Amino acid sequence: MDELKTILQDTVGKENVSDDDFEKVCYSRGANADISREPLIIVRPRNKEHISEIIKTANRLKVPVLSWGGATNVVGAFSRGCIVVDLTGLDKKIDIDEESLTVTATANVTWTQLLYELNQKGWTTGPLGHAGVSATLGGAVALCGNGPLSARYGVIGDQIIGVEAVLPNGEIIRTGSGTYPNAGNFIRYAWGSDLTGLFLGSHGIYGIVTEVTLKIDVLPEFTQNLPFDFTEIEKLSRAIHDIQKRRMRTVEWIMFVLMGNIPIDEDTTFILGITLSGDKGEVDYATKVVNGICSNGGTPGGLASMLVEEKVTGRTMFSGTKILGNYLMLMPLCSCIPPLRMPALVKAYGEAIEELQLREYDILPTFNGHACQTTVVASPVLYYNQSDEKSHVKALEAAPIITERLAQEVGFTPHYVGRTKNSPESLWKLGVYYELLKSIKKALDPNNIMNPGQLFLASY
Amino acid sequence: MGLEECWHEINMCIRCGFCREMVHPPMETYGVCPLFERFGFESFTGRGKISIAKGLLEKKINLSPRLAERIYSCLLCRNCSKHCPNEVDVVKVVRAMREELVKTGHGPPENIKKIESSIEKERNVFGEGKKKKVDLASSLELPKKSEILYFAGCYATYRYPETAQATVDILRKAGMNVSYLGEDEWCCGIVELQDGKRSLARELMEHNLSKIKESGAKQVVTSCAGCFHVLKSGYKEVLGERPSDFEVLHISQVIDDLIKKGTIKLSKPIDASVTYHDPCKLGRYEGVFDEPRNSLKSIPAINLVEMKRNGKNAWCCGGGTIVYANDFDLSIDIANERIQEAKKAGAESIITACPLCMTVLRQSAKRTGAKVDICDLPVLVAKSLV
Repeated sequence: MDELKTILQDTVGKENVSDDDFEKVCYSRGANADISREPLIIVRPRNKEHISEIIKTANRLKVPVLSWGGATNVVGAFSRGCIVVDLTGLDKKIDIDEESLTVTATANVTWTQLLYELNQKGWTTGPLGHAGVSATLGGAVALCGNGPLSARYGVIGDQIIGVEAVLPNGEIIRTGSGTYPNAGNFIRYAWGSDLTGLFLGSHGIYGIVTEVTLKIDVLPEFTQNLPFDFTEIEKLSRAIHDIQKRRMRTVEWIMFVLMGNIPIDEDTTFILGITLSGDKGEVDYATKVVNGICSNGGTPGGLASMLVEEKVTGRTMFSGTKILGNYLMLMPLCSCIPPLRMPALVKAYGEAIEELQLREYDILPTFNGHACQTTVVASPVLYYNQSDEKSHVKALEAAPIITERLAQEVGFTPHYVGRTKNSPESLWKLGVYYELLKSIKKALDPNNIMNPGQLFLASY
Repeated sequence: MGLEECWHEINMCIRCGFCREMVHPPMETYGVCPLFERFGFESFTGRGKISIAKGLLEKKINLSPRLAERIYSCLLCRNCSKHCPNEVDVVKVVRAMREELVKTGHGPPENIKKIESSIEKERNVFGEGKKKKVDLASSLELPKKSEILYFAGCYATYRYPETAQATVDILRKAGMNVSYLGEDEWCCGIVELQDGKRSLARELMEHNLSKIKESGAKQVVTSCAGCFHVLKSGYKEVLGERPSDFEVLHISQVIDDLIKKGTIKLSKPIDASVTYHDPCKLGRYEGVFDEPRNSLKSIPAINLVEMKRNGKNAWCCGGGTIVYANDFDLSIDIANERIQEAKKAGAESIITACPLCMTVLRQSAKRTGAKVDICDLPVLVAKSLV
């Protein structure tokens, strides 16, 4: 430990290294229901060369490494006893390339900062991080983020051009066209396999992303928010499907929230919020189309009108971390499914809740989600009482059971994976796919130092 | 108040990170905590403080000199709480941790102990004798009893008598019969409230409360944001209840009210571009944002410009009640950031309503040579009175 601390201090300066017990507690958890996992030491590099040196040292001493950005993830992503590489201290950079229609920013730039800089010059990008204002671009890549604006921009993988990353051996790689000398960052697919994809949703197990390049888009002139209440999930799902079927670029955000009871009863309402943006003519046209589609089962306004009253749109809804007093959100899964599969998902979820008797443990179940371009990310959510340890334990126990049940009865792709999301069983069942992931990890990181245990790749 | 009483606040924190960065789409984004912006470690943030408190309660971490250093570096500016979606009271938690540090001999820092010693001996933060209090009462011809009591506070008494003079002039212009406790006015207790020495805070508050009651005051007016917070909310926190037999007002509230009622009129023009710096204890602590601005806007010819971060979002001056005395360089460095922001807004003068803010900003301008005038609100208002 002394050797490690000395080397880190020599690398980044004493003021950027801490092994204080109180500091370790602060770096033990994100915005999720996971248990605390305290690191060994925290280091704040200023540049990628520092990161490279840190990783080389970690490899030599065989100490695990975890990269840290906004720490707003809701999935549980931390390993115990590691070197936390806090990227927030990196010298920030946001380069807007109006010729290539891209923006390249350091991994520690938050979505808010990025959008502000882009908006100043009449540009925008998406999707926005779904994990709060401090969510960083690096975090969005590590978790393959989606959220507000995903109806237009999909997941971050649909918008990304390339990354710069420090590999587990300390070498620095750039993916996409930027890998070619003097080419610049303008297209994702450069030569051979898509190495950008390696880092998407990787939880940092293949290296630490230091820069991200995204496509940019002209900032829309006009925005329209359309709220609807649905009482039947079948009709809600059909409406989302029919909107997606039209492939209208004007639709930038589709979100839905269950209000009331689950399992569904006569008091349950689903609110659907749709944000359209573009020029006035495009938005007017899309408004007519959406109103027509939603007239089958949807009532304009109602409960959903609070979205309009509170000016909640894809561009202002930054909080993926739902606020409910001292109840903390635990999402057993973010199930990526075709929208028409939602009714079956919600039915199976409701049955699981009843069987697990979650309400007896002060756990409030709910359900929400949003649409990507052709799918929905539908999230059963459990809010447990942070003041009650039994409530927390029960929620943690219930999560994999719910996940397994929905995987068997409905079938989904887990969008986010983490320690509090999805069960290991559902990944081990991936068979050859899982083994290949493990092989790649082993080849790149033979000492298994990069966030070991994530994606359930604990050992090889 | 023990740390055990903070479980509610601890459980309300969901670690969302809103205490790290302000967001006002499509406006510019900026940091929330002056310390986090400088030093970067999580322990400087609101959620970090909550994690530490939880760690202490769960006995995962120990009280130590290093921890004391970190906990006493907090400015208690309440910016993190104001940007928290659950409005977690980080100030309450930090105060409770400081109390624990005091109980175990890890706090307060030596520089603050010196101030406490001054207060214990002379009942003011400067450790100076009662004579100035007597002199102030005499020079302003202030009786000890009336319905309107001016609570001057240590700064106006010992460092800024011009603030006391201006405040009294304004009140008298409105026909008020103003009194002052003189040597019976003790430090309000803000230092002890913030540094964790609750027993001394209680002693000071109990004394002042009994003297205020003796004065027969129906309204207590102060020109100090710190005194205002203690009189308005600190009594309730420390003594359990705030007496209902008198109202507590900051001079900015009184001025605004008098102007609106037409009792006083600001007629003398002041041709200057000024900005208003919100003191944390007046603004975020007690919600007084508009009244000082209204007062300034009532001065003929004045041009009030706003800094980028104002009102609820105002950047702390760096004083942090005790941080200025504990880490002078840090304080004036933060103050310099505020001065630069004021200059960027086009202000020639920074007007504030807190003597500590004024002190820190002036010290910073002195060190950097920044050409900016820093003035107390009642002093400027009095200049415009005819």
